Amino acid sequence: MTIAVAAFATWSEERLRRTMATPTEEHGMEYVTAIDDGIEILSPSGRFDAFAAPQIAEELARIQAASDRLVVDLSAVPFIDSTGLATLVRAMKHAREQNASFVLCGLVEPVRIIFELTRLDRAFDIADDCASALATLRQ
Amino acid sequence: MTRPPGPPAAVETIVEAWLEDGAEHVTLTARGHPPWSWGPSSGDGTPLTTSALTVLVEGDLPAARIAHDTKLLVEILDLAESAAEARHRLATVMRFEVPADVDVATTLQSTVDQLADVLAVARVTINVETEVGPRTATSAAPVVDPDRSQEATATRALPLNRGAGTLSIVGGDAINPEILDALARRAASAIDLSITYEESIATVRLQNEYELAERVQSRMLPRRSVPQLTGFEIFAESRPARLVGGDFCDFQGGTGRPTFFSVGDVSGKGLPAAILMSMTMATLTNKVEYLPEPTPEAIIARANEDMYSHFTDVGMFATAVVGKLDPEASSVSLANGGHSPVVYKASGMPPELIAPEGTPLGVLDETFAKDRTLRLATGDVLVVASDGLNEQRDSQGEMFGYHRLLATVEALADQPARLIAIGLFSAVRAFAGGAEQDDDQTVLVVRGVPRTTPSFQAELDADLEALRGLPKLLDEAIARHPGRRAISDDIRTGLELAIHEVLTNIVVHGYADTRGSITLRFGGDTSEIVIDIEDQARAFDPLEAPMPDLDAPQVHGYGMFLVRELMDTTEYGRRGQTNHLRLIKHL
Repeated sequence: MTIAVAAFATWSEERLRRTMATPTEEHGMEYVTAIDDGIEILSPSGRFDAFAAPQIAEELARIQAASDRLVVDLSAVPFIDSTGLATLVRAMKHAREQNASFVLCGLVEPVRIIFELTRLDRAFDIADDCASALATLRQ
Repeated sequence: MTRPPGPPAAVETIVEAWLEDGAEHVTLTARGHPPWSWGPSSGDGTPLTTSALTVLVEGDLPAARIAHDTKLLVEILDLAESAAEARHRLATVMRFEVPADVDVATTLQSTVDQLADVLAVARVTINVETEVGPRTATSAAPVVDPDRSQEATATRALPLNRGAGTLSIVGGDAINPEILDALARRAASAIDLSITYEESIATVRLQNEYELAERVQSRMLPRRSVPQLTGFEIFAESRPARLVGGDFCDFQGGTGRPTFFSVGDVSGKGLPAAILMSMTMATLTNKVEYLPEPTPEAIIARANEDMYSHFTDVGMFATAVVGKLDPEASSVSLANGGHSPVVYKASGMPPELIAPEGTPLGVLDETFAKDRTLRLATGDVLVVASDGLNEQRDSQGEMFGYHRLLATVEALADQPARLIAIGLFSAVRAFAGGAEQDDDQTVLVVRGVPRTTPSFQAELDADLEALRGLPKLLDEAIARHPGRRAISDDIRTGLELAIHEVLTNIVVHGYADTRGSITLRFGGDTSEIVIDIEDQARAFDPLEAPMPDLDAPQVHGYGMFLVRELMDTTEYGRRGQTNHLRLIKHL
């Protein structure tokens, strides 16, 4: 557990640094990426809708080409629509084909409800919090 | 013997049945008796001879039937020492009324009920294991059941051609084993027939599965195409008694044309009724589209001309009401070809049954249906139902009837159209008790309502970035809505997602990246929030999208699924160049 907390602390620091270094507003959705011990972490923030989806899809594809362990941190996503869901489903299916890990974490309540309504909560690997997602992937 | 005896009554019964079913002349020559004969002989029959009996039948009766029944005749004649009453029972059983075109379950139930009745026993059970699966039927419990024991007093194997089965009898006096054997054979042949029938239907159903599912079932459920007209509130629902039934309810016109509805019922059941039903619906739609001045009267008359020979060929007919809704005049004009019940309730008046003035489609080459106009201003209600409601029986066999139908409409007339329809279905179901739904049930309700003004209206550019303005716009709409106190955070989240999905669909699929705008209107009261969304993109009904398979994650289809899940009502309509989608959420 201590390892996980330490990892999360490192990650948060990295995330903060990257956020400050690359504020991206013009694409409809901000996001930061970080690498923690070989695990790629994508942290979008804002509305994950049809407007933002192409850009996130591109970023997911880029990361998946380079890494076989990916965590998508949705803790800063207050809203997801069906296009956002579809983007994540595509990435999850791609990960399965590649035998790669693909974990979601940090779902806020309104977003979690959408996953439950569509039963996608059963299809995705969803961690309660991002620290435990990282801990699991390190094992 | 001082004089030649006549044939036993049971033999008479069987021969009479032959004569009814096509035989013209019958001669029976039984061992030790002078010949018995019925009907004039033309002398062209071939006799069938067994050790005990020679049978000569002339006329149109299948050889298999003659062969089968001859065995029974032999048995009847051999049962000389059996009591006269036993023979009579056997003869009665021989007249089983089991039609050839019913399914296995119906045949089994009819067989056990008649056997229990004829044999005067407490209970008759048949178990069969056939290619169409295992089935069981037990006779209805008698009012007085003196023998409560489950132990069968007699059992027989059923000599089925297409499977295996047993006949068990509980209670009653001892039954002659030969009679029991004859009964088992008789039951087996009826069950074999019904298996063949059910398989042929299943085959046809499989072949037509796609078409039927599309053309018949989806069109029987008018939920998705209920039109929206200012000053009217419309609801329609059809609840089929079987997978494929005879009721239909449809809407026509609307794209720059007057809006019509049609409600009807094709006589008969099953596939032929379903096919005629879709033909009738297609014909009515065609008349609305292509008659230069469509009126309900003209539509019914022309549809009858087109369909008359089709109906006559198969000995069927269809009742139909066609109505034209006139929002400008707040009225409806109706023509009725033999359909009932149609109930009209003017505001402040008791409901009345509107009797059909015309005959059903397919009965005569003319229907005599005439247009009549009814006012549908605020508080006036029109209910077009099918006879599946008033003819529903309870467990004692009593019908729901017109009286209860009118009383239910009277009690519910102030409610929204949806609640009037649901209330009618519920009242009929409650009346039926546990009894099965006898027939298709269809209800169309049109209510005159005030022409409401929206509490909030906004325009959005049709591009994905502009949709980012929705949360702020929704907050404003909620702040001005009469039901704002009842709009919780969860409801707000659901509204936002549902509206967002609809708007995204319009941008991506409707306008498909061309420029345009979308109008949003929020209305309703303290009990519901109504969101009307209009655009001028190509005709596009997002509600037609197939539902996703929730057991397999996929990339398409979740949007409209979520809209349906989150909203209580979703309706699409096309008016002129405008797509109109209405979402309703109850508060």
